[in-house]
Amino acid sequence: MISTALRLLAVAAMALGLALPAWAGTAKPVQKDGKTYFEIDGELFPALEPLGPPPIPKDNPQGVDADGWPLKNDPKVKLGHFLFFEPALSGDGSVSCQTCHVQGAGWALNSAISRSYPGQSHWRNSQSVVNAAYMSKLFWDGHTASLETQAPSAAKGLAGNGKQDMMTARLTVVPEYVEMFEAAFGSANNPIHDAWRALSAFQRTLTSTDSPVDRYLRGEEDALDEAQVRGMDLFNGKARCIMCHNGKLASDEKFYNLGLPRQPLFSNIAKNQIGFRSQNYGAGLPEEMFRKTKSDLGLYHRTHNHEDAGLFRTQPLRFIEYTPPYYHNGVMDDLFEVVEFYNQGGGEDYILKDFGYSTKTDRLKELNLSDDEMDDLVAFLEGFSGPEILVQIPLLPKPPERVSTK
Amino acid sequence: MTARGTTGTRWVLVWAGVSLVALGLSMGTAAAAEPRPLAPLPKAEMPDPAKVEIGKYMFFEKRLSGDGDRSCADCHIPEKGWAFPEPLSIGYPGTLHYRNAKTVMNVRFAKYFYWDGRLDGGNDLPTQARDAMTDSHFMAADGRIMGQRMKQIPEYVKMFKKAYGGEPHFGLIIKALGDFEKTLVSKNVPFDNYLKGNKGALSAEAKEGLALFEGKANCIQCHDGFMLSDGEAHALGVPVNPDIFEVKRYTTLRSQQMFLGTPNYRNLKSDPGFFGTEKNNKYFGTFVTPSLREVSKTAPYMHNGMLPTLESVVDFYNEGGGPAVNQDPLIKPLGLTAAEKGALVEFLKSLAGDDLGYRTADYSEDKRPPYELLKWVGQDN
Repeated sequence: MISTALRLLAVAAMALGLALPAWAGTAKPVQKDGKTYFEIDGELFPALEPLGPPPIPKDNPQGVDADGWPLKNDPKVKLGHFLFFEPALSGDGSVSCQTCHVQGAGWALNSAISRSYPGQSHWRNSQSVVNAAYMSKLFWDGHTASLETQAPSAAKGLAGNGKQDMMTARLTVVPEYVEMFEAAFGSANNPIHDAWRALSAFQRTLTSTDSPVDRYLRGEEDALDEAQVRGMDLFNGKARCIMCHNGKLASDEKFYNLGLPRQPLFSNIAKNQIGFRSQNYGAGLPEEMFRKTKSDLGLYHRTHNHEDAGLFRTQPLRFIEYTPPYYHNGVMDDLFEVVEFYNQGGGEDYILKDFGYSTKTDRLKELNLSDDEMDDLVAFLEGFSGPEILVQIPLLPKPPERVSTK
Repeated sequence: MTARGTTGTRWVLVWAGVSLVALGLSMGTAAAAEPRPLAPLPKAEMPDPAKVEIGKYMFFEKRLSGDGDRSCADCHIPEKGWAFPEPLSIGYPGTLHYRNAKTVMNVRFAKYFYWDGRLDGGNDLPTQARDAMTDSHFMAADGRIMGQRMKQIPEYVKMFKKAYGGEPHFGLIIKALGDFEKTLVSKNVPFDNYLKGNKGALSAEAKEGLALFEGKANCIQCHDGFMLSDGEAHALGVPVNPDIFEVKRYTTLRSQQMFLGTPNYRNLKSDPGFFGTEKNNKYFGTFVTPSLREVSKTAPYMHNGMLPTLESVVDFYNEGGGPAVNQDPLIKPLGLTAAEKGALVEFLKSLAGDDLGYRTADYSEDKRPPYELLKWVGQDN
């Protein structure tokens, strides 16, 4: 995290009206209503901005410092830190948040498809929880709007198979947890509801805001090297990245079909097929779609609007260096593959192929980037990742061998 | 709570919108009710064999639990009287149960399911199957996923097609399980043969035990009718099993009582039993009378397995049960001699029929059909 002094300096510089950051190159920023945009195809897209403290919802307050950054010693955060590693929050007591959000793997999982509980397979790529605090659409199809609702969806769903009452009972038989809930929430009367809130408070401390790109955007001109600055110019212009990866989060949090390759695991491995098909079945796909589709239909799962088939939420870019493979189905192994994919104007629209109508975004076009330009773009993308974020693995309170009733 | 005449009390509650007056009358007039005579198992219609065949595979199918490691047969073991041979049952991995697993033999005739009667019986076996399969401490299965799993086992798909004309899905899985369980009916039972006229089917000692059962020992007060159960809840004062306070078992107790909405569920010092179902203090510590059919195969006994043998059960009743807050007034010292106790046990043994021939090993992991890839419709894989 950038030091307070530097942040103040940046704020002071902004206040003085200095041109920060230096948008070098061919992509020309446009000023409108005091904000900076880049213009592509006649449309304005918000320029990248450095990240400030994450928003904290009014119904789940937590302690913050003078600048609004969440305090790590808040009792909710401390409890959430324990619970993030706590396998009691699953069906068979073997799966914790950390099972699929491994801190040594960018708080994600370095496999194409995430893990499920034993005996079951998942169907989507695990996303990093770093900076999830800033997002208003969680999961690849954006089906929850807050960390507080994301946590139970994962713990009870395809990842954890946890049942509310069993998870509650498991927490209440551990005296240390009862004490921690009392300290954080005033009581341990509704521990499972409060567990999701504590986990959210903890995740609001897992922010990456001091990447080279952030520092550059705050006015540290030497935070990015020359190749990265050239890459940034491509990002804002020729490579058209800014159309979706814009603003503070480097994501517009909107949904697009890029024509990504299919994930062959769903056609080649029976167990993966079960995970994939059970989610399609659970989402209530019409029978013909259910039987035909071997590609994830993304936003369609939520809306059942045909124009939403195959659309996924734009991924934020911070911390991506730590979180390959990429995309909802993990089909791209590194950033070079990603950039090449966009350079070709994305891929074949499988919605068109399977269902006869296209939902692929028209924002993707052949970019005609040279190899050097693609290298520059990758260098810039790498600049979105600050230092690795590591926390202490907590020594979890052990349940007593026997429960004593008073 | 009284021994008899509580039949319909639950329905009185439902119909009358919890009329305590009605309840009081029902309870007050109950004690003197005449037990139904013992009888052989009635002839029962057997379901479509093709559906039974599916249900049989489903019964032994571990992949019908969340993590694919528990089947119905793990707690209802055919070789152990279709029950579990330990005082307390196991549960879903990561959990343990706090009650004894009941046999599924003759379950089609059960008035209520489970020791706490929380599900109505009345032949609605699929509902019980769904309950057990989805409960966090039994099989923790998501029905939508289970359907997809079965669809990827071609042998099963063929069987479903033949029996139901369609693909496997959770609704059919639980129906098939129910149909299989309908076939789990005692066969060639000495006592039934005796009642049907074969006087040699019972030994002299067993006949003496029968006389005691209906007379001096008065077992028939609650163990009546062809199921040898009144299907009602009673407290006997069976000692609390201290193992329910083991953390995994107590966690299950707390979880389930929370689910049932049992008052004070976090501070329970014993199993509330039927109270968890009815929420009426009269029922605290009462449990539904189990059928005595196949009883000699299903040790240990009582809701918490605290009585290891039939002999210990008879001793327990002979001493007038144990202390219990709602203890049934019919439970009192019997004054049976050693010979009488032996005769009673002998009679109880005559309630078990032939082994139905199912072997768990026939459904072991190496013998079950594997998951196979499924073809997409309208395009190549």
